[in-house]
Amino acid sequence: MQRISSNMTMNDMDWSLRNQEVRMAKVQNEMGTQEKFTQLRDDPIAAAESTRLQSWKYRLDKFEQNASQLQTNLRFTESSIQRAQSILQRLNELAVQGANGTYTQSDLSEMGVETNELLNELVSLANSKGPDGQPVFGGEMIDGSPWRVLKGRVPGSEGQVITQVDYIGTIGQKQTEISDNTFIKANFPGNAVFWADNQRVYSQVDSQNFTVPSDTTIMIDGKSIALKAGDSVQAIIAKINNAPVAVKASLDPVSNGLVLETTQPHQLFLQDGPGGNTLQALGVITNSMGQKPPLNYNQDAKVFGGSLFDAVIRLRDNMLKGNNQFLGGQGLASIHASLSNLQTTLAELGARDERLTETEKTLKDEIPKVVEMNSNLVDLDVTDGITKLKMLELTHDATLRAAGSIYPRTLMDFLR
Amino acid sequence: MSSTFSGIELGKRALIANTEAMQTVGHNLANVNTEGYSRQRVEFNEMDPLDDPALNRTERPGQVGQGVVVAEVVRVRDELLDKQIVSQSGSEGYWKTRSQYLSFLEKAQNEPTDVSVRHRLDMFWSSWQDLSQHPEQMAMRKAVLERGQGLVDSIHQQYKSLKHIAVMINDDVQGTVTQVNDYLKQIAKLNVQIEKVQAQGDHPNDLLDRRDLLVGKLAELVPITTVNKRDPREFQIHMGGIHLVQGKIVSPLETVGDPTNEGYWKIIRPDTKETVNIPGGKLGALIELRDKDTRGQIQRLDEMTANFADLVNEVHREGYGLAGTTGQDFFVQQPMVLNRDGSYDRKGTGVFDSTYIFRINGDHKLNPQALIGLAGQLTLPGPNGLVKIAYHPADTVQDVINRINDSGLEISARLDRDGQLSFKAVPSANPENPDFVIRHIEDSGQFLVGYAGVLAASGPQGAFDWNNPQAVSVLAGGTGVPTGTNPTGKGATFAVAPLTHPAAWISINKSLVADPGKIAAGLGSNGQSAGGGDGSAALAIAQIRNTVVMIGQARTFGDYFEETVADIGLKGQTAQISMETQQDIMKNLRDTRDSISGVNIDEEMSNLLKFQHGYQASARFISTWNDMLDTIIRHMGV
Repeated sequence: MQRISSNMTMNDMDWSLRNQEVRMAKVQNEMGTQEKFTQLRDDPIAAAESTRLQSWKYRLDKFEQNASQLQTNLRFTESSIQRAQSILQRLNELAVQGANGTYTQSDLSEMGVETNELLNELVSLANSKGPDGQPVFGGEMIDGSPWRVLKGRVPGSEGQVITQVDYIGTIGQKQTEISDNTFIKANFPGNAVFWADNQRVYSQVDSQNFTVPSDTTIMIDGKSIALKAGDSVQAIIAKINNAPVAVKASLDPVSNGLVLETTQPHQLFLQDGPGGNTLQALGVITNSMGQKPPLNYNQDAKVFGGSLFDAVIRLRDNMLKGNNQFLGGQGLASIHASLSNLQTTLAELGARDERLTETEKTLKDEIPKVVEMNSNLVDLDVTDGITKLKMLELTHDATLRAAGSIYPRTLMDFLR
Repeated sequence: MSSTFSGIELGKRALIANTEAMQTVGHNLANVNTEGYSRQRVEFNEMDPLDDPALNRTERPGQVGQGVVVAEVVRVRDELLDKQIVSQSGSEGYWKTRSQYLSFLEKAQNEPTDVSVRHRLDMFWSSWQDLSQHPEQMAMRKAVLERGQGLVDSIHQQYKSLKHIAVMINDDVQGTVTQVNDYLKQIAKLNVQIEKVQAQGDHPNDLLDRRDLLVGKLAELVPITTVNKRDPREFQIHMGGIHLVQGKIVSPLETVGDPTNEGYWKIIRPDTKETVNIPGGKLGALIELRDKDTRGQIQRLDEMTANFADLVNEVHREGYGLAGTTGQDFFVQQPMVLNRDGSYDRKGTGVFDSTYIFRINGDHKLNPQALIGLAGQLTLPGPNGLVKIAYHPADTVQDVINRINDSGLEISARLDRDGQLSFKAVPSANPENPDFVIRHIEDSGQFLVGYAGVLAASGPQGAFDWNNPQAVSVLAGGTGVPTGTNPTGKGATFAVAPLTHPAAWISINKSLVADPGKIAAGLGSNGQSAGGGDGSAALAIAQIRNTVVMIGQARTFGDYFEETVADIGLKGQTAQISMETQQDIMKNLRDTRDSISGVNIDEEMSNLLKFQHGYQASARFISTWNDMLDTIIRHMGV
């Protein structure tokens, strides 16, 4: 600058003081909020990343909550199953003892009375309610008891005893999200837990020449299987066997009827899809009278395999009758099957519990990391902030000092 | 022969000249702090000497000087620098205004905090997860309702604050236009005065300073250039090829409400009524902020809201409430197009002339990894007219969808929950096109026709176009049906478009508020209503959070919020940096001008001394001449 006007020095001072004050206000604000930026423009990319991380953190917290809640519920389920298991072990002892043949009719009757009491306890365990007041083994059922009890008289019993136990719950699998789009099954429908044998349904309808008249679906254990017009019974069998259900289909070589058999002990839930009629035409179920599974088997079809309760009821009845041959054979076998099915369920439960524990561990590890990542993006480095503030204070001081001596002398000081 | 008293005359002229010079020094010192003042300087000239050759020349050698005379009082100013300052002022005004208002827009985002719309949305999804775990509990349903209400409130709140900013900017537009007109009038008035003074051959220094100051202020508001080339006396101000001031004639700007742009002020010329395009300055920045940035933010919020409501409703309609109610929307948007087929009277002529459809879903379940094995060309709407997108036999379904989404079109595509191809409209860049209306879908081949089941026929005759009031008749399945009215029916389904800002009008379905039991938690199975313990619908809604849902160009909600924050933050950052740069440039230019035109007290004081001494010397000279005359008069013995 070749020439300085009197106001220029003032303007310069003004300009730099203003800039310094803006910078100081910003750093002071940062110190106050302990955040790296006060406006999005200070670091737009970090702010954008931070929105994602904050949402992520919120979700992880939710997943952790889901996992721990589910674990509590599973522990409750586990204790019910364990109690059922110990009762079955006692029943096993009774069956072995009763099969001995050295006991008199009255001894066996007394065993029958004990068995009956244990049956009552088993039913109440199967109908037990969880901490939220919902049936533990009812699928998606929310009120009432999933196992319906019918009472009547049996030979040798005093008064009315349980004669039949039917499952009226659902097979709905509740799911809980434990990480992004990863789900874990949250419940155990009772008709898979308290089941003794594989169930088999034999249709009595000759299906050799059956073809599906139009596109439709059938539902096995709640899974929909699509059928195309013109599918033969063999094609249907192949589709069922390829579907993700624990069910094997085959054609009976003698009667040419469809045979459905579970490959894992549980109750078969069979339904025709909306507007469909295939399973009824094959003689497996009836769709009339609005019957819902599992109470919709075709009356002509032969159904084998039953629940744990069926096994215990048969055991008791034979004890009361004094039929020790049954006890040692069929009776013991079905108690064993029930026991092993309970153990399978317990194993699965344990596996789920372990998975949840692992998930929780991962989440407990992940959450602090996300918090740290977010903190790195948005939180202020206090040392850095203080250093910056001190530097600015120093500059500001110096500028003010200079401002104080801008006009030390002018020509006017020397003119008389 | 020179006059006896010529010396006194000469001395007197010197006294007058020095007095005038001192007066100017005083004027400079007095105006040391006046804005826009440029220092003035007195130009001394020698007085014409005796004698003029034209006159009768006295026989004597040489010309005798006649002293000093004040030739002119000029202001010290660099006109070229002034022009540069005027041309740079527009930029300064532009970035300053942008920076200021963008900072409001940034604050309206409430990010990254836990009071933002994003956080409310997170809470909303989380409440659906709770419901999915305890579908039988009324408390969870109430929580979904309350969180939903909180979310709706925060969307409304954000819409209101954005709208408020737009209205504030709009008010500022009118204020700025008034200011511009005011400056123009003052400049024209000064032009008249300046012309009069200049006609007398004088320098109207102070008037010129005043005019330059006004021009400088005007230049911050609108980008102008100043011209006085053709006629130096006629000062002109131009903006983008139009005259604002020509001598004493003013062509002011005028504001009228623009019905096609929410009734905001439009700037026109009063004579021709043509819209004036303001390419920069504060006014240009205001219009851009209002019509692009704020409008864009509102559109983004609308887009998120419309998509979000549509996605939640899509699942919710399929689900069942506690008492088996189904087909209920969770969110309602008012006002929507009322006609079932989306027919709408766009031109206000009393007959349906357009179809307003927001979403169209194909009929067929597609596998994203499947090879399509078809060739053809899609014609879809883009910001600047229709765009053709080719597809080839070796493409997978996902390839085609990605190509559509990555082509910058005003339509997005995705596979929905059921694997059906879903087209959704996005806000339009051109204000003449309505937001959230699908304008055109055409396929020269079979992809959208036989394969995806969107259209009934290929080629232009089978194209969906919004200019046809019964456009839905070309959809696959004959007529197409509104989603929800026939969930298992064959044919494409569609949803009609919202008529105004969804973000302003979204609310929760009143019948759900009255009976939270109607909130659908379960999807049921096999066409039968869900039991009370079925939480599958709630889980499906909670899952929307993390799936690809295509909110315009953003793939997920996470992407959407991240992009919105980055978008406005980066704009703010650019404005901030540009403003600081521009202010530095302006400071430099103004310093340079000050260096040339500013008053320096030391300089003026020394000038004062100089002229004082000049005055004293001249006075001494007169006194000496006086002594000389005294000698002649008194001592020559008359």
